[in-house]
Amino acid sequence: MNNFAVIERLEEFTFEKVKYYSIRFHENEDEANEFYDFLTRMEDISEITSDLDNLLLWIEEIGKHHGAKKERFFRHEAKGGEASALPPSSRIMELYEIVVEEKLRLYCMVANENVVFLFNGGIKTTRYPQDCPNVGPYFKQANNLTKKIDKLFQEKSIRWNDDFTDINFDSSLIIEL
Amino acid sequence: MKKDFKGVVSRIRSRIKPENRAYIKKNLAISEQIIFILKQKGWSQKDFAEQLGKETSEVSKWLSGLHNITLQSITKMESVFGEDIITTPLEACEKYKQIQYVVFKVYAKPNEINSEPSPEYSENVTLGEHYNYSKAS
Repeated sequence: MNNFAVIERLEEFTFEKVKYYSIRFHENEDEANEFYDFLTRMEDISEITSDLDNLLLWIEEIGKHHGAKKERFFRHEAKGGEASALPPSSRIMELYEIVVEEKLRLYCMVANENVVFLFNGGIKTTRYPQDCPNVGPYFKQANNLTKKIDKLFQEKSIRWNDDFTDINFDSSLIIEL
Repeated sequence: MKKDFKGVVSRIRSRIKPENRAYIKKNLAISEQIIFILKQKGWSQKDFAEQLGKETSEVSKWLSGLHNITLQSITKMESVFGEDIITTPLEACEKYKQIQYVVFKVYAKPNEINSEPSPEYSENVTLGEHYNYSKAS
């Protein structure tokens, strides 16, 4: 992994209520950002096909109609962790009558109800994400990225637009890890 | 061989059944409407349980999704709320046709008020006069 990253706007996930972004660890635009890497690695795993499809629908639906309400539509994965995760707990998903079978996790940062950074993830096999060989590194990475991005907001390297519905940043902005 | 990541979103989107998409959309919309009404009324789960004549634990299960949101459940909640959770397009057309709109012009600088009323000023404008629901939908 490189020790720097760039922010990439996800044009296919730019909706009225939520604009989604991801992180790319490569200068080369022909390399996948973290979210697309996650989708590409997960798309053919038959055990989680339904969960992955529901996850994508969830991301789209809250993006189109509801906004990224952190307490209701996301999960706080572990104590001490800065990042959020998707999908929300099965208790919440049951509220929407959506059955979550496996422990698919996508780590993310909810900047506000209108801007969300989607990172990477996988299938969680242990109670605590930090103990899991699959998602542990991504959980750690998401927490690290969340702290760095938060700092970039504070330094105004990432700036809110007038109505806080989107962000602006220089295309040359680099996140040093 | 490394998979093409550029088409991954299209590949996943194309395999999702339209009914699954509609299901998630409807469920989210209905649940959000219930939560919105509870918030609007300032009701806690306990208040809601009292109104429904049920135990708080039962309503808590209901809201946590351990109870399916059936049409019967929705109707029961609607009667307690005294308002609809679901409105069909035909009902919506009928309902919003009857809304009366009053247009006010707001002046930001009172000293520069133009004494002539602006041409767009109007009173008691009925939505139906300006808006054809069927064309817009």
